[in-house]
Amino acid sequence: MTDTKLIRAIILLVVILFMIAGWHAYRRGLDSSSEVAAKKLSDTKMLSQIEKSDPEQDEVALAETREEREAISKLGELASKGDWNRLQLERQRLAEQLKEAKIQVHPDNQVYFFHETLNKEGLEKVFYESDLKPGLERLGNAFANGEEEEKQDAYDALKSRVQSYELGASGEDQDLSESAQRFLKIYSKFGENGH
Amino acid sequence: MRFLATLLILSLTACLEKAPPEKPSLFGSRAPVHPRFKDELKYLATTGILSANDLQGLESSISNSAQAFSVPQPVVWCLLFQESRFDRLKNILETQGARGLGQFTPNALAEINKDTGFFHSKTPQILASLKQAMPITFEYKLAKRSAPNKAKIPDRSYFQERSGVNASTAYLMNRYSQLKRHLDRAGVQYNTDVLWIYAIAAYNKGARTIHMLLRFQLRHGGREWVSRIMTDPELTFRILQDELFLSRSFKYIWQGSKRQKLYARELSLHMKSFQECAIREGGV
Repeated sequence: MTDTKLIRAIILLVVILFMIAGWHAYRRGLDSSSEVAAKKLSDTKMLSQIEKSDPEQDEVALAETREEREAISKLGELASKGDWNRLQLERQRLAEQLKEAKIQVHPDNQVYFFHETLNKEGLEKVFYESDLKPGLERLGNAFANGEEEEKQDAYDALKSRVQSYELGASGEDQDLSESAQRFLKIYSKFGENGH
Repeated sequence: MRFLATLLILSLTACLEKAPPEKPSLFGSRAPVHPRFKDELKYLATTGILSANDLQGLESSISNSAQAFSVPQPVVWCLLFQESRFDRLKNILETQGARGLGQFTPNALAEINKDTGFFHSKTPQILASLKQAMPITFEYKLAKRSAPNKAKIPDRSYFQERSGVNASTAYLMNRYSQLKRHLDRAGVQYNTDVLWIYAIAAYNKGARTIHMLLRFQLRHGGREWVSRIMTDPELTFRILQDELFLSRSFKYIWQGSKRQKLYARELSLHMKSFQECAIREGGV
């Protein structure tokens, strides 16, 4: 084979390879655009399915039960006596009681008072574990050690976490949920100086 | 010759198998993206509400703060513009309600002064690096019968442009960090750019609204669907701009009250405006 023939063969080979590459790129483009279109269609289907779902089927309790109300009011009474440990033990006992009785606790009451009844994988449980729990522990320690300034600071931090969770930067205290207001009232008893 | 042919074949094969290029950021390189915001700035300048000098100073503070907190500049710019139209003295004479640049209430200021390191451990250091005097206050002095724009405003005051920007960026960073931590612990996948969109919504209405929104989607669509929402900006904006969806999710918070629909409408408009202002062309 002469050199000219060899060069021609290489050029032909390169052209064929470029055509193959082009075909692959074209197919890949088609695949990805059809994938995007399919995803969009499935998203739209899912959104319309969720839109059409029956609101009454949403399992969340929208009203507070008599049992919850009584339990929280009991906690309020204990807080007035200033006994942190008894308050925590009673809170735990009441949570177990509500759980055993299979009472559907209002979501806000679950977060602030009976976290044991929350779905373990839910974001509200994470909010309790990562934001509220450390705040409560700090307040409990300050109260136990009788550190006046730290008690106030710990309560202020706890209050601020509740406010930012429920209100954002611009919301007003009147927009706080009833559960949050009761929660803050109960724990303010341990944050106030001179208790 | 044989060597040359092999080399050609190898390089073509490499071309075919090359990984797709990295996705560019969702946000524009600089805000505002949509020209209507520039028209609004011109209007504010002609009416004397925001002079060219004021705007320059403000944009410099926004850039410094965004850089220090590693927040995309358009996210801070568009949030503050949406909140107050850059009016740092807005409602300065009020004793209640939202005030100034990032529309803070005393509650938001309390977080920055007393609990800010809890959400993002580096926030106190970053504020110090920005030479931010602490605590930030609502302090100002107004001579009798003078207009609010003549008020004397100390450096640490939230009504001072730089302090207002720093406090608002820190509060936004806290919302981002809070949501990030919650999603990480709940094992929900997310895209970091998309998370900024939710942080903006949480800045405006609290992290609880995002929890409720996701809870509603989880209930009807499952965990995979929630991860899909948190990784797809287009889907995120579709949901956050859909009043019906928002209203259904907010039922658990403000059931039946006027606020349920009002807040759904507010958030939906807020998100439409944010998308136009901050998202680069072709980003969604």
